[in-house]
Amino acid sequence: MVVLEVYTKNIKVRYKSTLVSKAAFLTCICELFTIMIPLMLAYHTGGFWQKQDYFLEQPQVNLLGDHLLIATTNNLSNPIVCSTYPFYKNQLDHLDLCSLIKLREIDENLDNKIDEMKIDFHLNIFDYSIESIILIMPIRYKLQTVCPLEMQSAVIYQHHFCNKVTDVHILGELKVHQKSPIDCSKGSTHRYYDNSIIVGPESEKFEIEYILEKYLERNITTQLTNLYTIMKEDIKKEFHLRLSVKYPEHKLIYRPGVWQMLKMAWIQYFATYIIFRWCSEKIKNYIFQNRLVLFYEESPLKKIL
Amino acid sequence: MGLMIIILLSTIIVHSQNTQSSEYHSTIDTSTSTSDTSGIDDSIISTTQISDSDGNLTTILPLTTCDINSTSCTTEMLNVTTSKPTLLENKTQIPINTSNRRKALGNIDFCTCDLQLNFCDINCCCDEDCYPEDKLIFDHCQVENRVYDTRYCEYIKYIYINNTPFQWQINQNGLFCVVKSNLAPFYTIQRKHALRSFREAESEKTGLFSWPKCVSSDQDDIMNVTKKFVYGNRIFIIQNRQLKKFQLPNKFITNRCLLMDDVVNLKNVRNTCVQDVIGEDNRYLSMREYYENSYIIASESFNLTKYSRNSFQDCPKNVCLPIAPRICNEHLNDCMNITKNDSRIKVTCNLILNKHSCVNMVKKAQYNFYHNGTNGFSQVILLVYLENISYQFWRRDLEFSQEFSVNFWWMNQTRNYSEILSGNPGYLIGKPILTGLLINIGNKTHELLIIKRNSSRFINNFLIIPGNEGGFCMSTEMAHIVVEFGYNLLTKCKYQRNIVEKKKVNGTDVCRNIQRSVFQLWDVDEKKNVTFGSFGNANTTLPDEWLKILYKKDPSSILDSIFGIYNSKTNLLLCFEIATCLNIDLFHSKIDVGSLHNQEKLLAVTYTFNGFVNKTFFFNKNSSSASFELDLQSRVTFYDISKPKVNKMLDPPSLNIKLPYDFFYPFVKIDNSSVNPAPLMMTLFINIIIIVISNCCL
Repeated sequence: MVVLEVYTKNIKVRYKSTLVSKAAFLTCICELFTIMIPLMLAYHTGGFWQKQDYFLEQPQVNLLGDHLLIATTNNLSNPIVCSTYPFYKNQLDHLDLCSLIKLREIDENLDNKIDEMKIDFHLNIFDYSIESIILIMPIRYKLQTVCPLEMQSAVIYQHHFCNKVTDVHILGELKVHQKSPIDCSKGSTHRYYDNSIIVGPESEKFEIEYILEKYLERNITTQLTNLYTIMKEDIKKEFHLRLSVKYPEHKLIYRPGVWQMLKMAWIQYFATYIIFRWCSEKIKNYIFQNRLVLFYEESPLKKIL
Repeated sequence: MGLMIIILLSTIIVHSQNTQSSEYHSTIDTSTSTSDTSGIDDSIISTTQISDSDGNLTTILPLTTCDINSTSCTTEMLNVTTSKPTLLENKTQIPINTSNRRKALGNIDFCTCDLQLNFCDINCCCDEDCYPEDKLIFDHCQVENRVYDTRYCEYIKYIYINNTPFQWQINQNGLFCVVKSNLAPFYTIQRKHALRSFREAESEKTGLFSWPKCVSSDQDDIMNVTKKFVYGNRIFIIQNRQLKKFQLPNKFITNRCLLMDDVVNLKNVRNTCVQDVIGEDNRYLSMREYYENSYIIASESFNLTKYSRNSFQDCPKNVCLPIAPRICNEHLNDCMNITKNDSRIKVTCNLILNKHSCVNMVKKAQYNFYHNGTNGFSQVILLVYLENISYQFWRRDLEFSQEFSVNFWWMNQTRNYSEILSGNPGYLIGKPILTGLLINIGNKTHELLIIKRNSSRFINNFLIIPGNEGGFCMSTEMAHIVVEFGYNLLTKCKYQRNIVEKKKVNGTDVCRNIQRSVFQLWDVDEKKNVTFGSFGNANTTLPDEWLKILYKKDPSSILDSIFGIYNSKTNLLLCFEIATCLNIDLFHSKIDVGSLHNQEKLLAVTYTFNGFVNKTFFFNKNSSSASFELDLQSRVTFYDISKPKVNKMLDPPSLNIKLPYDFFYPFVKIDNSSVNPAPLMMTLFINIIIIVISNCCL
């Protein structure tokens, strides 16, 4: 009849020694090195603690409805200031020469996230020529997956013209810019900078320098990239500004949570640890089998015998 | 096998429309195809189906592509393998006519590109108004506005639409697609009913784009006139019997006076802007505008309803405070009261001999509000500097700049520069550096040193360097550059002067006097008495808190090394080793003072003279005067010599073992933005390690 190996089991041989002995000391040192060296190796090779990670997400971007368009003309006394903010309306309404604003937010794939925004401004410029423009369109920026986040930001465009231009078409993409990783937790929505970027009541807070300076102090800002500007000259007395901004997926760097960091650290540590554990076992085997130190052996085989 | 079919299906759709069927291991039931189609006509498109041993169907679809530049089209055969639908089992041929195709595209009832009734829409392949011969002019079929669920294999229908020469890539996002679903019949709930009320419509706006509400002017602010007398509240004024916010002109975007800036309580302001309309009509040029018939609301006891009945005429003077005007010099000093009919308060413009001239225009207007805490204002003084202007009448680009300022003072407070600190105790970034003169008020044997500062002059209290006014060096109470803590400076300017000498002086003395004149401009003291406050609150009675200047070569040595040669025939004076560059180096460190951290302390101030030049000047022998012009440079550099603070143990035998700063990163807070300490997690983590290790050991 055929005999099969159906199950195997190791016999545990116990090597015992006193606390103050060579064997105990050696074992202790061996264990200490087995634990510590993988830790040191994993740490010093870099990236032990995963301090940042990134994710890609298309944000939910919605225009807040307000706008601020400031254009300087060749007449210093007559800049053009089009805005929905009460301060500008109260103070500079006579400079509001915007005749038409046409806006469309497009959700191309019907996923309830706006994919593109198109806005047209028509300005009556009479005999003036536009020398520079700055456009600020406040937006609400929302992330929902890895780092739920809600903030107010802006689509900001600035240009200086060298010659008389009457038609400007700007094509670009909205990009998020961050100075440092953001903290995030899945349970709650972070509301960084969830306040208007233009807020009064002092007039200095409505100055473009102040608005932009404060905006740049933020950790997360949005900016236009992949910008292409097409300009046309005409003799008409109207200035036409068209802006098409796409909202693609954004790459955001975040600071992982403690468990994510521990998971990554553990993987790195354990991968190194098992090699050292194997080496350590081999060394200890050699020492005890060759009886290089004094010990008392307690083997189940001896008991049987 | 079924899975394989599905994978094959995905591959065909994604990668190619040019796949040509080559081999068939099954019986071809029927074959009807047109190899040279001269147009796109649904009625003549046929398919060939091949059934394999597993009962699946390979459908050979004719794909028609047309050259853009010609009317000739070619048809390619495309094989698509699908699970064999039971309904098609007995059929041998599927002639795809219009109605069948519509059915295949998902029960279409509408042709979305048919936008003209009774006329054929170009490139709209489903338009029933298009006859086959009309379709000859089509270049492509318009993409229909339909959304397909890409989880289902039905997106094969794109093949019918994509008859462009370009490859389509369909994002299937998975290895498999659903051929057939066994979901129970369902219907779609969607918003299609009309909204019944305005309120319902309004509530639907939430979260969606809408234009902001139309805003009206902020008249409501007038009602805030009785608000408490605290910092930041608006100041109100009764001007020509009307209650208004107290505002001053300010610039916006350009330098023109476009704004009227609100003045708020207890906040000093300084606005400069430019008036481009110069004439008697511009009321902002007239002094009257700033005080006449104007009364400042002085306290919160102002009763709007009571006084507004009679246009504020019965408002008492302690509540409606009149503005006291004074005409001053350019620096708003030496002020004089004015009478009611003073001729100076009227702007007058005249045109004389092609010249337009206007007199008594307001150049500077400064309001000084004196208050007594919550009791409100007790006095408002307006200081005005008037200027005259004349210009060629044809000039259009004329500008007249104005300066408006408002200062708030406690009652009986006067300007005292010695009482202005630059930090308490450490210097604040951007504040001026305290200076003073070290003098001995004792005698030679018993010295009593004190720091002297002239409280009425700014330049005697703070470090300044010469300013550049039109290219020329200026170092006066009004024209100078203030050295601000932390800001490095470099200024260049021309120093032009004429110095009169005593009779019988030699060339060296004149040259040394020229250097002395430059030192005077730099405020360099030969006696080396100038000191600097080591803290922003340095006390004048404690000379230890003040630092003396350290020199590489002191001013007297510089003067000693200068010598000059005078040529009496040419009246030229040749000076050697004139110092034209001054380097002021300020060394500071962040130190802890008591419980306050990082207080900036000035540790040393060094002056270095360099840029030594040899220059020839003209010396007028008769008038005994020398005129000279030198290009001077002044440089200020701040050196932060702070060192990392080290905590030393009081008992010397101590062992300081340091782990890398982020060794315990997730558990210990290492900066403001990192994670919070989590001792529980640390214990847990260590426990896990111990358990795992002990299990491995045993």
